[in-house]
Amino acid sequence: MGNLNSYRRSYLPGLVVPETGGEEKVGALSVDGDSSSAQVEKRLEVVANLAGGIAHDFNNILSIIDGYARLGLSRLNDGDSDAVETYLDRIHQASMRGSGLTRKLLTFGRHKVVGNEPLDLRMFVEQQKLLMMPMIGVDINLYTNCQSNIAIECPSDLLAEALMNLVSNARDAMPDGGTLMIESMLCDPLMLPRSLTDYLKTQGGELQEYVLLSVSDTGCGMTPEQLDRAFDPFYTTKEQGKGTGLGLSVVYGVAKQMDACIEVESLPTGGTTVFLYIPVSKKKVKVQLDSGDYPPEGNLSFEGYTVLVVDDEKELLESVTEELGNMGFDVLSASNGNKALEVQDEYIGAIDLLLTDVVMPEITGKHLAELMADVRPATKVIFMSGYPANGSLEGIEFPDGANLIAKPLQYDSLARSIYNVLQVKGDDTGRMVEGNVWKSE
Amino acid sequence: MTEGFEKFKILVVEDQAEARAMLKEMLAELGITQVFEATDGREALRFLDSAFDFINLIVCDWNMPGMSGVDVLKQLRSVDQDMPFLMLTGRSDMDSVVEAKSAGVTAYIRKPFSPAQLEVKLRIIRQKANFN
Repeated sequence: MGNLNSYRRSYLPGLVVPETGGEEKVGALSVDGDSSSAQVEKRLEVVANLAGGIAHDFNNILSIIDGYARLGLSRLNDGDSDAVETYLDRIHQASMRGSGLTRKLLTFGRHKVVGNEPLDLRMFVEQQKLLMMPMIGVDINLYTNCQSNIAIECPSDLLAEALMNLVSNARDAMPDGGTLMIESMLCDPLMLPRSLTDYLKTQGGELQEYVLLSVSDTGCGMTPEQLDRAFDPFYTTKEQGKGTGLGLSVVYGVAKQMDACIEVESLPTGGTTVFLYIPVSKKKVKVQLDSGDYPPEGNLSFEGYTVLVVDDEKELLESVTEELGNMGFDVLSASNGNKALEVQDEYIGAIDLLLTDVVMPEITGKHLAELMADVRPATKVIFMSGYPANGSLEGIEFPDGANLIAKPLQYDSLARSIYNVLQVKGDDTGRMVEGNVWKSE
Repeated sequence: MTEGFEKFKILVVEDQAEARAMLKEMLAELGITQVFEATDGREALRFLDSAFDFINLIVCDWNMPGMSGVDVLKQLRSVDQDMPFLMLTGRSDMDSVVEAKSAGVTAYIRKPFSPAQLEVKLRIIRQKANFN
């Protein structure tokens, strides 16, 4: 920070800070406080760019949907249902792409999406590093240097997207290779940008602790003019087709989500650094579950995880709820499937696990799990019930790989089963190691 | 078809014909066939004025020309506190959620949504409204 002859801009949630030209100038100007015609013109240009970009991207998506719908109709007349299924699937994919674009725009706009969760920043960066390596290629050296045990609050997928955008920008700025550095450390209040401290003074309240996350490259750098427009939606210096121009807009939106402040510093001779000043969270972060095949010995802790337990037997529900609480879980409970749907609907955070009885009035555990898979696809499921028989349980057919645990519950084995189900990444279906636990086949 | 859902009698308020048609299809899949339609907020309020007792749920789009879904909801709540109201919205930000809740929405669902997501909301509404 603070290199001579560098250009720097600060951006705050709700405040856009276009400090003009020069070296080492950092400051804040409210959008409302500036009505010069040049600024108005610039804003109109941003809006025009935005409208053009949205129209272009949505038109592409609509063309895909329209094209496959027409193809599907013609194949339907030929009776080729396989082809129709393929086309419908592609229409679905295209509409998901449209949905993703909307999400990016909302992320950029003044819309705080729900679902902030506490993350250990160092752990998060290290996990993302594995995904970045193949993206940046062999000519770029990627280093990370992050302080341990600092939590921030942000939906992990949004932060991942912001980080990926910063890294891909850095990569594109270094076509001949170079060094990419991601660092994070607790920030001394004296190091906070003046715009941020001024903003915090206007907000009153307690002084918030901040962590500084920075992403630096040794690439071509930006001109002051490019830097001024860096966060404009759909503004890109890349060739057509190589970037949407939404990358830094997404970073800006994610910063808003976290109530963070962004600074960008670029040297005309090369190299750009993006600084994110992010409020530190005091909330519990999920404990890291090992990725080994077997859980460690001793008591297992699920601090930071949330479970929804559903059973129509009152006493059982109470005892399981208490036991899961002892394991460190935040526990939500419901006495039937419909109530469970209501509970999950009102709960804003992530639900890591659904632990449900199979046979219940009104709605079975299996149907509850199917509905949950649609509204909360990341939630893992364990069914609790009586007797297994060839994948069929009390007259209910379960899909392959469903996780089932026998009643009466033995809490040690329940903890280990939960451990095994939660630590499995992606859409793998879990592994069971206990005698009274089985998977349907 | 989902057990008990045939008892729903729904007024769908949505300005886009394709969206109304798709919603009707989804509701039919769930066994709900008593569906009335309004193409905007004013038509919905006129319907409610004369045929309030014919329905037990309103499913309404948020963004409509003229009266928004929130405007319809506020008008409704000024005369009736109990009619279940499901808001369809493209918004999921905190401010919109708070606005919808404070206006008295029973539940809201974010577009685009799947038939299963609609079923979840209808189950929640049935649970909250406690009608059989």
